[in-house]
Amino acid sequence: MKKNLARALSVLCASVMLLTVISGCSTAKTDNSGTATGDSSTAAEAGTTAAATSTSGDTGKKEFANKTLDFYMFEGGYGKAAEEAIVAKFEETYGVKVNMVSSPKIGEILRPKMISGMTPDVIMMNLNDSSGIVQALVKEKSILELTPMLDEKALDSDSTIRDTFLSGFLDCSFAVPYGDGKTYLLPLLYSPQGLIYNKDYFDKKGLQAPKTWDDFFALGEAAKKDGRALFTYQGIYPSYLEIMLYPSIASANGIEGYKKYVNYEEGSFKNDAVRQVLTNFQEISTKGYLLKGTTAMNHTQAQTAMMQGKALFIPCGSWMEGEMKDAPREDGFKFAMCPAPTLTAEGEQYASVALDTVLIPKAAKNPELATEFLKFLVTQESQKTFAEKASGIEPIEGTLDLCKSIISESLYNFYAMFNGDVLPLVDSLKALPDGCKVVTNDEIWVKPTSKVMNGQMTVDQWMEDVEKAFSQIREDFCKSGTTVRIILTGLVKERLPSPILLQGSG
Amino acid sequence: MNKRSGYIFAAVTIIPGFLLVALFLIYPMLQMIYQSLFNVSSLLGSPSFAGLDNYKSLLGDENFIIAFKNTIFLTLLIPVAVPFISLVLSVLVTQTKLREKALYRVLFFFPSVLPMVSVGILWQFIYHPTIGVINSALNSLGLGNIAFAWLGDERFAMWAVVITIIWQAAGYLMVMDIAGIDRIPIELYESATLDGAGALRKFAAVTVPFLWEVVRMTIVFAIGIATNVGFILTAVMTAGGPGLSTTVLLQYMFTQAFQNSNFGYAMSIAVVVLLISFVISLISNKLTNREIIEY
Repeated sequence: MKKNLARALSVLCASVMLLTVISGCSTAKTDNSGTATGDSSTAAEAGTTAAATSTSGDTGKKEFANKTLDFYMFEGGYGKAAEEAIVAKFEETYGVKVNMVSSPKIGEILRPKMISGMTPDVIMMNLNDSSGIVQALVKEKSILELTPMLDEKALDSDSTIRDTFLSGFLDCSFAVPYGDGKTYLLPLLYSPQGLIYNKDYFDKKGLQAPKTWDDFFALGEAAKKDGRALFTYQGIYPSYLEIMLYPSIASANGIEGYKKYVNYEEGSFKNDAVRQVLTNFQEISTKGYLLKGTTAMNHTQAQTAMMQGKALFIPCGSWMEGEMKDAPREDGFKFAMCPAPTLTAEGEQYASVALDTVLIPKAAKNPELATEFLKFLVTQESQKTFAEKASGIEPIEGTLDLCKSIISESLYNFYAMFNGDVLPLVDSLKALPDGCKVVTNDEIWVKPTSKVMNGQMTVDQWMEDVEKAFSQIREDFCKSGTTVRIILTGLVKERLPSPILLQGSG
Repeated sequence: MNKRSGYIFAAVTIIPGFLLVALFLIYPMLQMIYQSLFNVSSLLGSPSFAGLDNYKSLLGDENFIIAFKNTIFLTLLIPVAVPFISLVLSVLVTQTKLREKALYRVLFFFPSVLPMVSVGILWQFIYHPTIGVINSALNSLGLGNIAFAWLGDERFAMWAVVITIIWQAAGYLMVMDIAGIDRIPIELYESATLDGAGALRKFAAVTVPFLWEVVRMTIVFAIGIATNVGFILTAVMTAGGPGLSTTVLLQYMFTQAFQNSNFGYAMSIAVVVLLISFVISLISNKLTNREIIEY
C-alpha cells in the first residue's frame, strides 16, 4: 500500500515537472501559431489594402483595414512622453490602436521577438544603439524602403516630405545605407555635437569661441595663465573624439573626402589633411593643454571636471545638459557649443549630429498604417510635441524657430550653432559587410588614442593602422558579395551621378 | 522494496535540478559550441555553415590575441593570489588573538555583498587621477611625480583591476576557509603547541594540510572569478582600455556580438574561454592533488 502510494506520488510529481516544462514549450508554440494565423490574415488583408485603405470623404483622413500598429521605441535621454502624446493623438485621429513598447533596453526585447517572427511595424532607435538591432536589419536588407513616402505630400503642407527636411539629412549614409540613393531610415530627431564650453566664463574673460586650430591653441595659452587646461575628453571612451575630429577632417578634406572615409576607401585616412588634423590633436597633449589624468576618466568624470572649470572644452552632444543636470559646476556655468576647429580661416565648419531614426521592418504586418504613422511623426504639431515634452528637435526646416519659445535657452543655443555657416555632418561609417570581424571603434579610437596622447605612438602609425583595418574591411566587402562602391580617386573630381558599382567576386 | 522507492525518491528529487541545469547550462553551452561553427552574423537571415573558419580567424585576429593574453594573465594570477590571500585572512581572523576579529570578518566579507558594478565605480574613484584617494595621498606626501593616471596608463591599468578583483573576492573565499578551519579539531593545534610549533609552523603543518580540500575548491572558484568578475570590472572601470590593455576575452566576445553582430564569431571566443577555464581547472587539480587527510 505504502509503496504504491509513494510510487503514485512520485510519478505524479515527475509528470507535473515534465508537464510544466513541456507546456512551457507548447505555450510558446501556440503563441507562434497564433501569430502565424495573424500573419496569414494580415496577408489576406494586405491583398485588399488598395480597397481597404480608403479616404473617407467626411474627415479627409484615411481609413485602414488593419487598425493595430506595433511601435517599439528606444527610451533614452528623450524619454517617452512625447511619443506617448503623439501616439494618443494618432489613435484618436485615425481610430486605430497603437501598441507602444518602450524601454532603455528595447534592443534586447526586440531581438527574441524578431527571431520568433513577431516583427513590430515601426521601430524607433538611437543610432548609437548598442544592441545592434538597426545594424543587423541594415545588414540583412530587412527594412522597408521609404523613398516613395518621402515623395508624397506632408500631412500638413503642400510640399513633399523630402522638401521639408533640412538638407543633408535624408541622403546621409545612415538614411541611405546602401549608397544607392534610396532612403530606408528616417532621421526623426537630431542633436548637435561639438565642443562644449562655459559661456559665462568666456564672456567674463572676453574670450571668443575658436574657429581655427590656431585660435584654439591661443585659448590654451589664455587658459594656462588662469590655471586651467584647454581640453579634456571622455578618456576611457575615446570614440567621443569623433565629435571633434570628424568635422575637423571633413573641413580639412572636404565633404567628399570625408565620404570616402566613411566608405573605408584607400587613402581616406592616410593623407596630408588628416595628418595635419591628427598632429594638431596630438599637440593638445604634447604642448600640455590636456587636462591631467584625462585618459583614465569615464564620461561623467571628464564632463564634471570640465564643468568645474578644470578644462575649457570637452567634445559632447546637446544631451550633456540633461545628462549632467545634477553634476557640480562652477558658479554661473552656462552651456554653449561651438564646432570643431578648422585648419584654415577659410575652411568650412562642420558639426556632427546624433540621430534618432524611425524605420519600418520589411516584415511589418501593417506597413500602410506604419507609413502613415511616420508621416504623422513629422507634422508641425508632432514637432512641437517633441520639443515640448522631450526637448527633441526634428531636422525639418523651420522647426527650431517654431519651437523657440518652447525649449530652453541653452538648447536653442546648441541648435543655433547651425544658423551661421556651420554645416551638419551626418554621415558615419558605413555598416560593415557580413562576416567582417574588424571592430572599427577599437581600431580607430580605442587602440591608438591613449598611446598617441601619451606620446607612445606617432600620428603616422595611427593612420597606417587605420588604413590596414580599412583594407581588411574592403576585402570583406568583396568576400561577402556585397556591392562595393569604388570611387576613382583623383580621376573623378565631381560627384558621380551614380556610384560605380563593382559586384563582389566572392 | 524499500530500495526501489528510494530510487524513485532520488529520481524525483534529482530530475528537477537536472532539468534546470540541462535547460539553462548544458543546452546553451551545446548551442554555443554548435553556433561557433556557423557564420551567424544576423538577426533573421539563415546562418551559413563555416566549419572551423571562425577558429581560424581567431588565430589571425591580433585583438583576440591581446584579449587572450590578458585573460590568461588573469586566470593564472587570480587563482593563485586570491585563494592565498583569503587563506591568510581566514587564519588571521580565526587563530590570532586580535580583539577585533569579528569586526575584521565583517570588513573583509563586506565587498562580496556589494554589487559588482558599484565596486567598479568605487575603485574608479579611488584610482581617480586628480581627486582619488590614492593620488591625493601621494600628492600630500610630496610624491606627486608618481601619482599616475592608474586606469589610464597601459602600464598600470591591469594591475589596478587585479587589486580590485582581489579586494572584491578575497572575503568571499575567506568565509569558505573559515568554515573549513572551524572543522579542524582543536586538539591538533594544542598538541602542536606542546611540541613547540610556532604560528607559521602550525599554519604549514596543520591548517594547510587539513584545509587542502577547501583550498582546492576556492581555487576553482577563483578561476570563475577571474573570467567573470574580471570582465565586469574591466567593463566598468576601463572599458577594456587604455588601448586594449585590459580587454579580456568576454569583453571582446561582447564587442563582436553586440557591436559587430558577429554572433558565430563571438561564440567561438566563448568556446575559447570555456577551454581556458577547463584546462586551468585541470592543471590546478593536477597540481594540488595530494592525499586527503581524513580526521
